[in-house]
Amino acid sequence: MAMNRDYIGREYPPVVFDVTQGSIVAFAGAIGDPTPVFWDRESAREAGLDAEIAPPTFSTIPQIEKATEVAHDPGLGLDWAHVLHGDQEFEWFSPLLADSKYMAISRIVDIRGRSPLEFISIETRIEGENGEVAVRARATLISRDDPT
Amino acid sequence: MSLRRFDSVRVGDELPALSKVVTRGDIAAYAEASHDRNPLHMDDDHARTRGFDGIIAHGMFTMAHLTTCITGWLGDPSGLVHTKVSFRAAVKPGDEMVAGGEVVSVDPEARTAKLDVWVTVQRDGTKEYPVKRSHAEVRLG
Repeated sequence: MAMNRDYIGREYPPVVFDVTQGSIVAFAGAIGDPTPVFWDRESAREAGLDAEIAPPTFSTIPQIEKATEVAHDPGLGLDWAHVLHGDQEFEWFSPLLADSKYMAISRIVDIRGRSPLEFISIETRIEGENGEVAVRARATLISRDDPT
Repeated sequence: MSLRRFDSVRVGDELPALSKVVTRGDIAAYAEASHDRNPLHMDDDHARTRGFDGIIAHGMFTMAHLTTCITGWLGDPSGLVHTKVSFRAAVKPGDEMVAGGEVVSVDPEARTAKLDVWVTVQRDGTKEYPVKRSHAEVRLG
């Protein structure tokens, strides 16, 4: 099934997400990263931060949520069950802080290749409440229709 | 917590390798924490229909291990400003993944450095690269 090229440039509605101390600790635990500023407020304050910060790849959480929404858009023609993660790029401008709200906005920036092997690049920007971009993430997913 | 000093970094410096043996429990915990519940990472039968011999780890789990390696060397996670990675092989339960990197250029004006970074696993006596020909940029103190 070929992906619909008309979807290049399509932007999806923003989702708001909360970064909490609990979600940071759960993520840092799952990736096995002991960096103290992820784990406790005192260490964060000693480092001059207002609160714990999230590990760099934490923004995969809103990215996955948005990518799943994009992938299930019926007009796009992408089968989520046949997707592999090909490339991932992050630009970090400021760390995500505990007890803060952010907004994730995703856009399809490219679709290329030819069925049964196609590539889709989805860019997700994470903005703070002040509207400044904290992280820009770009995922390239590989859609591989298995021969049946 | 402080950033590695620019003056202490030279082109050709290698980051200390960081290794981790990946368990099924690690993959399940990452699916939970990241909200990425793609069945490729949770269901052996589904993974076999995709041409794997069972579940594989999330690419982002491997990338997280790599960023832990980079920021551990860097001294402060907020100094990591950019990475671009390519996922080129699967990480399976039982694999020992080893993250590493090397300084390839430094910019004295901006006090930044560019790194080549990778993640390897040993499989049947050969080295595979779950993360290959990938790049990172860091800010130094």
